[in-house]
Amino acid sequence: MLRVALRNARAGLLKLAMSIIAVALGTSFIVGTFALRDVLSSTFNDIVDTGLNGATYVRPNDADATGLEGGGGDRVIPAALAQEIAPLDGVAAAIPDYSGTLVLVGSDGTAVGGGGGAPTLAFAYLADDPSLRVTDGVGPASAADIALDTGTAESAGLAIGDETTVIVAGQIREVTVTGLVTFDASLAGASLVLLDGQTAMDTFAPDGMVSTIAVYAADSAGNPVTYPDLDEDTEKSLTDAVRSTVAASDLAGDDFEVVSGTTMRDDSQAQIDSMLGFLSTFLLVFAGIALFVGGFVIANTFAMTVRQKQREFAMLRAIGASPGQVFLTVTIQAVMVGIIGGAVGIAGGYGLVHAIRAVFNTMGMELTDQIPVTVPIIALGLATGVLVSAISAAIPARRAALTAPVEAMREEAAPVLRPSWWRIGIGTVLALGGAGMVTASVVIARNDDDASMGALLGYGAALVIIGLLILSPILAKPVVHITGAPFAALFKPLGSLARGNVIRNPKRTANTASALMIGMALVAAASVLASSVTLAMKAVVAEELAADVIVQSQSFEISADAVTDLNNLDETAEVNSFVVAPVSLTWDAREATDGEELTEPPAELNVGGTEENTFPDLWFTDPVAGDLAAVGNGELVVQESTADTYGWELGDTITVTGSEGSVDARIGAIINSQALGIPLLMSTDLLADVAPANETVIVNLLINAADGVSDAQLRDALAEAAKPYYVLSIYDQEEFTSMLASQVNQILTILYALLGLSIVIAVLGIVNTLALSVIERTREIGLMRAVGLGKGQLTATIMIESVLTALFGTLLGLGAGVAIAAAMPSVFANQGFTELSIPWGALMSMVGLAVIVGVLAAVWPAWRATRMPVLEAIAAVE
Amino acid sequence: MTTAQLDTAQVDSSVIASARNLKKVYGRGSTTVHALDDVSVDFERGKFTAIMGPSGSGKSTLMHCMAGLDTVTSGEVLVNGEAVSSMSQRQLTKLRRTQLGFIFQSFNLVPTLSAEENITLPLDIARQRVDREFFNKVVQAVGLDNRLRHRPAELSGGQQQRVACARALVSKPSVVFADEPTGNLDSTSSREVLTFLRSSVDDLGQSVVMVTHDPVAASYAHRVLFLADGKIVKEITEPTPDSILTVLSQLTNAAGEKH
Repeated sequence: MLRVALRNARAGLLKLAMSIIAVALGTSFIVGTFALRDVLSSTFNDIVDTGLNGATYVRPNDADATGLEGGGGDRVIPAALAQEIAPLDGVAAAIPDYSGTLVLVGSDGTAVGGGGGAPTLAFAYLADDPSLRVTDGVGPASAADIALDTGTAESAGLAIGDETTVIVAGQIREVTVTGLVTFDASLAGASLVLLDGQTAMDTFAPDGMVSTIAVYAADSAGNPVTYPDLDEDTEKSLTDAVRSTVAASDLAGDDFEVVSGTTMRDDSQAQIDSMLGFLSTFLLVFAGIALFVGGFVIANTFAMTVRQKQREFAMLRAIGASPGQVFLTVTIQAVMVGIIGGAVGIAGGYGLVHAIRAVFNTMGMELTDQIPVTVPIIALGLATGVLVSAISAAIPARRAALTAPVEAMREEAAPVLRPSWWRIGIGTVLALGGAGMVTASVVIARNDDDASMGALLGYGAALVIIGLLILSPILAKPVVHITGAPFAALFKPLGSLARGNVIRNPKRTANTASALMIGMALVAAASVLASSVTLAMKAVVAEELAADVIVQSQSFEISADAVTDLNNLDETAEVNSFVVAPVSLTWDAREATDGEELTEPPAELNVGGTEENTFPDLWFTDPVAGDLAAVGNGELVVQESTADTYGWELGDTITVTGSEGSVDARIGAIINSQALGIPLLMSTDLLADVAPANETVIVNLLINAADGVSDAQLRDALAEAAKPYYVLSIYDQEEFTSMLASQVNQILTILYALLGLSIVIAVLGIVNTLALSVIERTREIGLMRAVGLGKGQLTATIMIESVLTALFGTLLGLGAGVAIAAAMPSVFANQGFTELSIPWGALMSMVGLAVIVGVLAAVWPAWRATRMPVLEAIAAVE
Repeated sequence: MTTAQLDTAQVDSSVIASARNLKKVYGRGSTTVHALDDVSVDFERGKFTAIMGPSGSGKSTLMHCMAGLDTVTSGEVLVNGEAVSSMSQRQLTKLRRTQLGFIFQSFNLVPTLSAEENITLPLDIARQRVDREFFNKVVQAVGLDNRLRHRPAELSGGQQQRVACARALVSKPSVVFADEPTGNLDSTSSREVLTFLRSSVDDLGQSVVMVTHDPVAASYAHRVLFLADGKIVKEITEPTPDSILTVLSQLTNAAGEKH
């Protein structure tokens, strides 16, 4: 029997090609996902291992920063503590983290990494810091020197001795590159600049507070030992010693702790892994869809071969083959498909990762070139391929095995499938349950502005989709009946023939359409979301932005010198700024009413400052309560959502405490502005009383032209003045909204890529289903040809079938997606999502796409159908 | 009109379909089979002709070639004056729409269409108007008035075959070809279908050619042609089951003597 199976498989390998492609596609996504995850994980872990290679760290409590992003953690550790740790036995160096971001201008005169994305990080060059080695030239010795990471120097086009510009803390400085340092890991796109120790200290820790102190162990000769050469005992004893020293110090505090280097590295890696875990989950969902449809293609293909070979199986049974043996002949072929498809898929998966890596590289984000080819990933790929194939083939194989020999020889049409109550029940419960959750999230969110119902909405949406997938075989009949009506009316009698064929096996139609349905649901929801957000933003900006232009920085920080320069221009009448600075807030908590929980004051909050006349001359927002003149009166303006969170009311007094001091201020106005992402505002002067200038960041400039200056003149003047700062962008109202919209659209692009994937899978599924149904209907097609159906008409019929199938998946998916997205304005109202905008044009083009997909998928099956000789077609299986 | 006169026959208004020196050869070399060996025959307009013969005699092949369902090796086929054997696919499709009706042994109907839709299918495909009056006449004749909305699966075998008959007639073809139309039916249903085919000839003036191996079925025809080894060996007119059986047994004996 094995020989029969192998001969069959070899003879039919070409026919099995579609199954192999389907398995390969699904497997390559799974393998690709896991391999990509490993690549990203090892890229970031390399950075962690290289950047965090000390024996012991002093870090803030509840540290959630990796310690890599300059200034990422709370700066709560006195740098002076390092001087107490350094003399300890076995300590080679104790290095406070003087780091932050800056703007580096490359040889082409533009800011390095200026397109957004990965940051340019600045570190202090300290001679005794073992984590950075100067490999070429010398380290920076003064404020006029910098050293660069080798990779950064390359991408910036700078070499030792070159002069360039950096903007540190808003000041333009001309500097010379004095040396190159090596960082032993790919930086994932980040650029690295070293400043001399004093400059870095003055810039990034003016108050002497830092976010971490790294302690390095020394060997017997006093040389530093870094991870991974560090042994565990040394690390442990050193950590204990540092911990007791810190505890005994006058500088000890409650808000920082001492941990071992291993803990520090493990925490960072865990954090990175959980971030990547989200990404893999997302990709695995698509791999799952690919495999589901792949399995379905396999089941179809085998159903087809089983039908064609029914007589052969019957003959085998008649001469004494057991059902088990017949079952095996079919299953063995499926396993072969699985092995071949799996192997191709593994290769494809690695190819995919190489491609992604190449794309990332061109975007300046370098990933590790070591793509892990691991046994578990290969085993997973093969096992997935084989299992999916074997399971998918099991049902047709079972049918082949169990049909009585005589029955098999005379069986005519495919068995009619009745909808099962089980399916109706489960599907309805899930879909209605999901719809209920979506509705509940809307109702709750409408009644309670603070309620965060996003998760409920998400789970509800997922349930609706799963429920619809289960119900879709039952929905297929009525839906196709309606969508087929125009075709039935337009193409008589082909339309109704095609519609009948699509409805004939609703389960198959539904399975075929499932990939498109999921892809379309996703895209519909996302495009409704994007269109609504864009619309809301436009409305808000149009309403609130009163200034002629707004200026922002690619480095998210505008230098104070730039503000002065722009202010000095004759063309500008007013140059107002929005600044932010970290402060802590305290207030007399109101008695909680009705058992309502009031949120604890935050440890630190970024609050804003602006000039007295910003409202309403340059920014207009209608206060919910109070008067916007509050800013000028030394009072606070708070966002409604913030006030609700903390239980504040108009007239309350809040104590604002910063590094410089503390003031009591009254809440003079409550606003609800979606465009102004600042929870609390006061006058710049008042903010300056509490927060030092070096902690205050200028994020936006609002500019009005002087009298008689045209828009074009203003822009030219501003562009000229902003040039030396490299990173400033000037937007008028329209440009500002389209810039915001293009950010939203970038996210959509990713989803469109995934839609593309689901279309490829869907086309495979439709081609396969049509091929199967053409073979099943061989005699029917022959009959119709005999009574006068032309080749063109036959082709048209099959194309209409295909289009109807694609339309079914698309309409179901778009419907579900739009319905779910329609719930979003209520649920996310407090996040600036105020209006529902359904992009009908985009949705209609999706429907158009479905028609094209349908027509394309039908080409090959239709060609095959027309090539069947009429007489053979009628005589088939007679 | 007999087979001997065929060579001189020109387009004769009494002939609806004819074959001239028709040859159909399967295989090559030592495996060559002459399914049709120089067959020449005329089928008369407005008559019911049956073709009989033992298995492998070439009776189905003859009908398939006459109907343009199969290609011929050599020779000529004319249907209503048109040369079928030299037609392109497109012309054949047109021929099937306008000149021919078919009834097969089994699987005769499109399962997704109702009885009425099945009957009008050839007209719908050809985008021709349905002649309601004629449709009703045919439907009444086959006794399907109250079954028109049913799907094939809801009809008995005899009813399905009557739908097929109605479909073959409704487009008023020049000739209806029936391939073992009663092969899958019980005797009652067979009688209904055959009676109807005969009455379509007698009452509606239809021309019908039927292949069968059942002497009773053949006895409904005006004329019976007997094939053996790819040749027409005998024909009788106004047959009865008995006269047919006699000829069949003669043929069997002749074949026995030959070998």
